[in-house]
Amino acid sequence: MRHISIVADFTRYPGGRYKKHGDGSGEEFRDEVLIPAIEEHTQVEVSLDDTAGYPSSFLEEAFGGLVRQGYAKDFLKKNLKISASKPEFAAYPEIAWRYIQEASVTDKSVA
Amino acid sequence: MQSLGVLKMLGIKVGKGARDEVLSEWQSEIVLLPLQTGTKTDGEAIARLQNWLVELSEVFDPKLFVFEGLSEAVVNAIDHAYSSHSMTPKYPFAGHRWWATSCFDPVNGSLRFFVYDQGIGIPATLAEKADWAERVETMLTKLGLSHGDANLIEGAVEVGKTRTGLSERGKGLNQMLDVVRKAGGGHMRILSGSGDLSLDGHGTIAKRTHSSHIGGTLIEWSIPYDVLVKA
Repeated sequence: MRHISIVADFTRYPGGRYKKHGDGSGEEFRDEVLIPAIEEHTQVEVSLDDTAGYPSSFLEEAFGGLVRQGYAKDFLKKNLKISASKPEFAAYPEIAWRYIQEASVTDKSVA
Repeated sequence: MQSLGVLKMLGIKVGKGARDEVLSEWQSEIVLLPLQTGTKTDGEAIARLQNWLVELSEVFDPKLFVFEGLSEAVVNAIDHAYSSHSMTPKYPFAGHRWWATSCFDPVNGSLRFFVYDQGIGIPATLAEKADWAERVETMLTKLGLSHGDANLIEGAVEVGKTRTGLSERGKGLNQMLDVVRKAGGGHMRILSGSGDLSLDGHGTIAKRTHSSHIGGTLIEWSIPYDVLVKA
């Protein structure tokens, strides 16, 4: 399993939805960190601990955006683990999974 | 202006007398932190608005929901406020930027955060985004509200609370409102276009429509200072 820590492997300050919004966007994380890891490893775990927080547009594009990029929800359920060990971050994995559940493969752009 | 760092941004040197006056003001009244600005999201700059408060006093502890609300306001500013091709900012020399600051008001026991852009404003953005406008229109009908700017902003906030929309538009407004919800007190004020809306964690507490456009969107959060005090 490949373990990704957003704070250690990407940024302490998650940003907006798209790369055009600036550094640390959900799109940048998804395309440059998360998808390469999914493609190279059978299973991937993403730890959400210790950042400054998560704008909803970042989380939606990083995780809901996987569905729009063609990853089946069943495949993600089997192979992607989203975790947080610290109490203040405990709600974020559920929010990320909600965005995956609500995302539609036909909705290519949401903003 | 000195406290905000605007004079430094403009390259203006402040004489000793003026500086002493500012220092005196800091000791007795509101502590206003230097202005942050950018044309893209800048998480470090946004985090500074809380981190400087921590530097003022070790009792403060940055909160995730404050970072998130401020970040969403900045994303909205750069993504929607300047999206109109026909729009010219009121002060063109200042460009398509966002500005943000925070302050500690020891007299009223509050922390205040501000994000401003000089874009077209939320009501005019609604008119340009068909999918969002339709949802807000439905919400206004449901709430029995007319089309004044304050009502349009209220409609957009209410749409953002729903989970039925495909579009993420409006959800940013809801996360901005999370700041006062999660703080358990205080209020958020949205001045946009000619609309002026104040909300607490439960909904609208005051609104009015002014006679003229304010020249952009100003979001202000005011929360009790003890929300940021370490447990």
